[in-house]
Amino acid sequence: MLVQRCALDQHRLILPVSVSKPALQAGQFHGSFSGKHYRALVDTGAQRTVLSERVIAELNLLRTGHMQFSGLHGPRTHTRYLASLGIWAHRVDRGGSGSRLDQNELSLFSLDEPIEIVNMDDNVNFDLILGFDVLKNFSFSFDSQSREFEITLSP
Amino acid sequence: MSDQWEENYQFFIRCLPDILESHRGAHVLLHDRSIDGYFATSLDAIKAGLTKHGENNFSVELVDDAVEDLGFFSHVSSTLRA
Repeated sequence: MLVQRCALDQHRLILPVSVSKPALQAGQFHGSFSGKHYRALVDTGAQRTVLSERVIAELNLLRTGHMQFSGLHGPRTHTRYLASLGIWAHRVDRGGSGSRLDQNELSLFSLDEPIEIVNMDDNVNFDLILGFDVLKNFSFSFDSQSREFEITLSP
Repeated sequence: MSDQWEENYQFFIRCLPDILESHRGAHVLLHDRSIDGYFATSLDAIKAGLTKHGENNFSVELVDDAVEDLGFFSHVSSTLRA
């Protein structure tokens, strides 16, 4: 199975991900990833995944529509874009009494279908916010002893 | 960026009160400031838009008046902009 673990980074959980512009071929979307890593903040309180305008421009993502979001000072309109998303993870052997995580090899687990993300201002700490629209597809946990977050990407 | 995309949105905002009750939750495909169909998912609407009109010649909006929450970003960004 594929598992990614990350430690707290200044009270933030950051996962390595890749993003690409999906192409429609024979009625199906396909994502072709460059292998470039982006920093994704895990935010279970966000209903949507959000991507910085710098990365949106870099990947020339397809603009699809609008979405209204709440804020402290009233609703704001954001732009929606179509993106393929993959999360980098380690292959883990759960056999035997413990679990062995191969720290040397990273595999990209890409979502089956593209998702619609919304834009945010550029940020020096992370490139995107991973919301519950993506996180709901996986099992994840936080260990308060080790201060580690773990997400399981495949059965 | 094409003006059509923004013009489609202004058209959608004007139409929303008329289509909200009959198509709530549907994804509407917009082209040249007109409605070009309703779809169950946004991906279906986007596929139809790309196939019929090509990139940047359509937009897709959700027929709903709900406001979503962006969590961390909603609140931090709003504070910074205030």
